[in-house]
Amino acid sequence: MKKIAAVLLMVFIAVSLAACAPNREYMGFGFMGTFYSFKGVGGVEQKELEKKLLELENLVSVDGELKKINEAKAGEAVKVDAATYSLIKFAVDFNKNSSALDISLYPIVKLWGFDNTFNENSSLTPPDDQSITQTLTHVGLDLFEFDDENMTVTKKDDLAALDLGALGKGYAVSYLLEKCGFKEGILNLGGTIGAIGKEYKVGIEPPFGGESYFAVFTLKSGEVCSTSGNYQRNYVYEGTLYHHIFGDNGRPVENSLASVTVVCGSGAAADALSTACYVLGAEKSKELLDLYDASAVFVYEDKNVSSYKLDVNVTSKDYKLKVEE
Amino acid sequence: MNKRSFPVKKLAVLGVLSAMCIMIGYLESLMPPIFPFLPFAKLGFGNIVVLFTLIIYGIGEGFLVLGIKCLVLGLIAGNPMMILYSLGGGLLSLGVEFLLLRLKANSIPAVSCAGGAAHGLGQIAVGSAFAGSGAPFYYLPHLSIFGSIAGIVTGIIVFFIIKKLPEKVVYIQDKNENNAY
Amino acid sequence: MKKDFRYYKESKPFRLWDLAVVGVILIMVVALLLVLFLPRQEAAGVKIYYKGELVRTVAFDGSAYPVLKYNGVTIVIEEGKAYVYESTCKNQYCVKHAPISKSGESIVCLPNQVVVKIYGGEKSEVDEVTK
Repeated sequence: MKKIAAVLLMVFIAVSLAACAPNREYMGFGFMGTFYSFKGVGGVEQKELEKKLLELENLVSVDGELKKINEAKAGEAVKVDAATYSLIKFAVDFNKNSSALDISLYPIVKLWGFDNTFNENSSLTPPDDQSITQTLTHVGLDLFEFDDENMTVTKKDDLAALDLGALGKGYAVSYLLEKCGFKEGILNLGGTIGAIGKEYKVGIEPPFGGESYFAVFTLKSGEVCSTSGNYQRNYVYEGTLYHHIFGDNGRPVENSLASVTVVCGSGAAADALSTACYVLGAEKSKELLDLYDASAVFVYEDKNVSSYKLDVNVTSKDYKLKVEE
Repeated sequence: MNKRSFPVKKLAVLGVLSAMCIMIGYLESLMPPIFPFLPFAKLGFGNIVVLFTLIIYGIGEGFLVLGIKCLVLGLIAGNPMMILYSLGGGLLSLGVEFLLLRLKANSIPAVSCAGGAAHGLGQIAVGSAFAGSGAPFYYLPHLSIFGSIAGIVTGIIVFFIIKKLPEKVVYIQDKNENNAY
Repeated sequence: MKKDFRYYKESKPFRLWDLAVVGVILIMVVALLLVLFLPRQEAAGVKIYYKGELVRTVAFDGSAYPVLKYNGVTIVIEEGKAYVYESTCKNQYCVKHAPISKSGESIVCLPNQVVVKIYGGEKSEVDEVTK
């Protein structure tokens, strides 16, 4: 009997070895306001992945956990979910390293119309100087008090508000790739991409439209890449383009950059860095990138490209790789 | 004399069988592959020895002969991966043949046929585990059909060997039949 | 074992249950052939998704290709490629996008939630594109 059992076990093992890693290909719309696609092996079913996506959306969206903080009155200690709190803390620490990323800029974001009401099909007008100055008085991380032990946030100003939009997708990608048990795979959440289990070839979208990608680089397992640019969310008013990445003067940052792509081991960091590096520009970004052990590609308005610590292959003849480090 | 504790004859026979198995496997490897796209698919005549061992002695001895063959051939070829592949197929085949022999419902050629198909399945399972994908399974139809036909052929050979072989070649003559090994 | 040996010595070269063995092997092979070779019949072509669900598949089989419209997005398919001709969205990125032709390449109209994707055929250089 024992022998028969042993034999059956051998048979079972031999066959089941091959059966446990099914191929996955998922796609969906309406998660974190954008679409996602996943291609890989093993791990959870699509329903489970989407369930997690919805949970994550609630944790980082201004209509979710953050709403509690944003609608509270000054002096009220608002408790938020541990995950939300840790992401806020990450952003606060990031801000200590570089003021280029400021999650308290939400009042300004709303003022310019780039919040959830930003509908591709509406037409917007930029606010006047007085409104900007007025709104800026409600902006600043010094208007918040953070209690790490109780995970509460207390505002000193009724109209102060937080927005994790710059970090949400990166955080979600890292989280999902870690928790969904995929043997290998590549997850694309609205353009923020993460890889696990093996490396993948990733293309960078041309900021000026046209072909699918103008350059290719290799995304290694455990890395996440995120792109920020003035072409993503913007509107034109009287011939001028107003985009959604703001400086501390309450206005969209004006520089010669069209987009920045950052690669980092942490999704939240990659996301935060892509925004911050766009604000800082290539030269001033280097120190920050080193701090988070990240690399980046900068694309300028004149279609010149420079890369920092990233092996990138420019495949389009319209773009020129200028500086490489 | 307690012959049971020192089955010299069995030891000697197993040695010869293992050597035969290795030789057959080696000669097979010198032949060109049957399927150009499956270079490792060989005739499988080694199963003649393994099945034979299974019938006259048992699964432990069968496993021994199989293990020795896979190990030695893999080492000679300088390819340790090959050991895993041939073991994977060989073990599954061994298991299936042992089960069917125990059930005593089938003829020897049929047992060998099932073993041949199982061998192919086992090899593909190993291949899939290493490739990390189900791709190798695309060749399962080829391998199992070819394996079962080869199995029938080797099975017929084993059938005749078993039929014609005198008992005393592999067993010790013992007055009380209890010492049957 | 000796008794097994004696049993098999007297056994026949063919028995009824052998048909069961052959049967099992045949079933296994046929089942596998179906599973493996049926989906494989995909040639290259275009897949269109609306809200993440596949709504239309058009294979590049040399026939006359339809002009398709989903949720305000007009898609034109030609031999070996596809592109968005016009769309009701404001930013028109999908229209400005160059025609796609390689496996895995896709055009996404985010506001209208439509994705046009190439499957099969020549594999694309990249697995994904960061935007």
